[in-house]
Amino acid sequence: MPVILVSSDNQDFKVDKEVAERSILIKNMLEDVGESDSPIPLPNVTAAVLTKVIEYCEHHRNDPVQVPEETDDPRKRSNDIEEWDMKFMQVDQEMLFEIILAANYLDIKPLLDVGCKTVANIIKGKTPEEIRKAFNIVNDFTPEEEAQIKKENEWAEDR
Amino acid sequence: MSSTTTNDHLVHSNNYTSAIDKQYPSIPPELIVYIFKFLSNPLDLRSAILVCKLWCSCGVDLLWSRPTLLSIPLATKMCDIMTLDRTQTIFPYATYIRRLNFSFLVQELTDEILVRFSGCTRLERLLLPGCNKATEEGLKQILQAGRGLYSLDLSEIPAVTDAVLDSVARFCPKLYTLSLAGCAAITDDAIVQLAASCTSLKRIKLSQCVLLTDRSVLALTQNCPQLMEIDITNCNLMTNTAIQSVVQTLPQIRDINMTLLANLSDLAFSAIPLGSNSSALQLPSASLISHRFDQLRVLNLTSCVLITDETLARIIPAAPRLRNLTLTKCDRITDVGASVIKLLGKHLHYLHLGHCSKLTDRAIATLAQHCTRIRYLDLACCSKLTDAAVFAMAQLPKLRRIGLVKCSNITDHGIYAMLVSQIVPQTLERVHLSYCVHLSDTAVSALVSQCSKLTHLSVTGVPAFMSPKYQKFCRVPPSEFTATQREVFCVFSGKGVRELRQYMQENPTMPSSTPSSIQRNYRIIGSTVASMVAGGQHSSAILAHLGFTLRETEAHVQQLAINNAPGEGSSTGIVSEAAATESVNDAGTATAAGLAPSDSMATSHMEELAPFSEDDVAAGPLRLHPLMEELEQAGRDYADMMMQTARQQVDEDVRMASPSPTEDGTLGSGQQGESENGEGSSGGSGHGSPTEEEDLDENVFDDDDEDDYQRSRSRGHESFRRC
Repeated sequence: MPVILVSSDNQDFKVDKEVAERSILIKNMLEDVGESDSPIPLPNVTAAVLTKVIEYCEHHRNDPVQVPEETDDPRKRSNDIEEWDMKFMQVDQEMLFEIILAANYLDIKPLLDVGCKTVANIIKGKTPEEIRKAFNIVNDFTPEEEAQIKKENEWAEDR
Repeated sequence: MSSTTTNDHLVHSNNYTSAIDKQYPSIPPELIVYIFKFLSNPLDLRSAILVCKLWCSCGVDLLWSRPTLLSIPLATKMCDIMTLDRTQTIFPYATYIRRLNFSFLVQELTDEILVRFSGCTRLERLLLPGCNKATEEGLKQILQAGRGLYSLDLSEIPAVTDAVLDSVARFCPKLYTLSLAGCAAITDDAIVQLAASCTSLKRIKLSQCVLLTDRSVLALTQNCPQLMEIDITNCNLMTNTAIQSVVQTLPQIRDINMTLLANLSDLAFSAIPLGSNSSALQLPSASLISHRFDQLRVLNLTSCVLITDETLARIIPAAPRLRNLTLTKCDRITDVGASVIKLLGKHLHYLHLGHCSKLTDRAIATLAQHCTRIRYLDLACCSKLTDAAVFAMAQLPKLRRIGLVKCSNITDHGIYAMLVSQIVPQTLERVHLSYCVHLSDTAVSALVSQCSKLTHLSVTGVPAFMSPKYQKFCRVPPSEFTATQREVFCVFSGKGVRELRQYMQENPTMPSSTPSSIQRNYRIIGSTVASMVAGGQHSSAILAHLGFTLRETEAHVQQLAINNAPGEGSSTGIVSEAAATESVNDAGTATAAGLAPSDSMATSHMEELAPFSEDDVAAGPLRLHPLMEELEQAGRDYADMMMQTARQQVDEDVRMASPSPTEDGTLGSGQQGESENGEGSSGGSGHGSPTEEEDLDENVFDDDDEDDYQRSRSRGHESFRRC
């Protein structure tokens, strides 16, 4: 049975239930509501972003449910993105961040991970200035602050 | 590579958009932190925190939380910053540190450095394994750092005394993982005090704490109800009482290591009813529930020499999800006990039965049939085993490591059986064949060529390998080996295996019995044997069948080669493809073929030694060559005949078995006779005192397993550390 999702700009999207349920948020909503064909409003997601998210969920509709990680190892790997996802993430940065926010809101952990890994991969190997440039971030440190933080964390350069 | 492409693309597109100074949607701090968790290199994290204030506040904690302490200068630099007066640094760095792992600095870490970390008030894990320069005072000081410590590794530190453990008991009440392995000076008093205070303990390693007695274990089982892992390896003073208290009070136990507890007997487990899993006994369930160990995954009884089949009959049905079972040197175990292990079915992944010298092919066949997910099987010095056992194991689809050291009845047929199963060649990584003296380099060469994942091969004491041409690829013998031991030492690992494989492919030994048709025949024999095993046939029948069929196969192939000799060439066109390879392989003999041009010899050999091609696999029994079909039928007939013979024999005592149908003076039957004799005599004089030779082999065997040991040890440490 299809589910109707409504984007913040009032566009309707008809998707299969199993696709929609890749989102834990929607899955829980459907479980709470029970059998109903009333549309589900997603006020935080625009049509453009929702289109992308649905594309992802369609492609991954048959993926096994992710098991929660056994360890709380905070260091995660970012070099294991599968090819389709890699292509899927080749979007402009605004869309990349929008997808991450939507994945977070809709509770689609695999998509959130892929998005965050993509951002992490952009950061990797860059100097602070290159990172600022890449993400259009303004340096709000005073030169003194920057110098001190640099000094206090210098050990991280040692091997 | 493709990730770079993505980045380039993104950076690229950004270059265009940034010109318009686009406002990106703002990412909340918790997502920035989440992104930073994917930055595994501290250098990247350091760059990230220098980007802006928000990023700095998101990442600085992460950068300091679990520093990789790779050198003393690095540690010193960290200390210089975090021990500064709080007003002089931007962040309270010391409080960010959650985990300190000094295992890379064991030789260098002194008290001087160690105590400078005492300000890490939020420390959760402290790992100091083997830091032998640390003193009692230094340890006491760092332990007072904070009360949040939940994982502590003090293993192999000579300075760990009762006084240090007093600090642990007083300052680390939340501890749930503690390793004191090798802290030989500690006494029961310290453990009793510790158990009373650290009641949340889940894992404790006390291996080699030789002064500890039952009192320690009793204190732990009584005070720490969450205990799930206990290692009392070589705590020699401990008795059945210790294990009885574990059995009685800790139904949730997950991992017990009792290696070398020489006092342990079947009484240790006597509280568990016999066969508590059988439906007949499940009626008074209330009392049985407390004797089920559904969480038990790892049980190590290495060298608990008094243990017999009885213990297995109690513990195995009660612990149905046991994954890792080690019974090495429990040499009272017989086929009866081993067959109880089959109840573990697919749950069993690691099985060590080394030196359980009473075991026969029957036990292995039963286990292979039921425990189909075994990955690691050690049968070293199970000297009664024959090729039939290997045939049985060859059906294990997940077998990665196989240990057959000193299983000297194993012959080339066993090796070929493994290869033609088409199952194990895809999974085997480590193979131990030392002192399997009958093996030829040809068979082992086929093994090395076809097992593409092979990373370790030991063939110490195998005469076929006592040659400089192979030994030049072998590892350097351990320095403690005697000259004699060095002479026979032959272990290939990693690069050595690759070099050996290449050498063997470039310099093939003349295979006398491995043309592809023979390999196919092995496949047929393999499946017949598998069905005999599955049908409950006794190993003697299977063996008899084996010897018989193999000879038939060889004769048939000889015939085949003669049929395809030059002159008859064109008329047997269909056969030629298969025959070409065979003939070429027999090039040294008179049957050398004119069909294959001599310059293609090398390639043919390569094909011969290469793993089965897809085509070959797909061919299966359905598309077998006509001659092969004939052979297969012959195989079936033999199988039927053997089954009948076996059925007639089945009631007779194995040792009294009438002469097997193959006893006609040929090689096959000769070997079988020997093995039968061996089986017969060992009942009386089987395990006498170990001879000098045995001791020597022991060392070699241990070295063979050194890598495994190190690996499992470090893995153990790893999992330990993660907690």
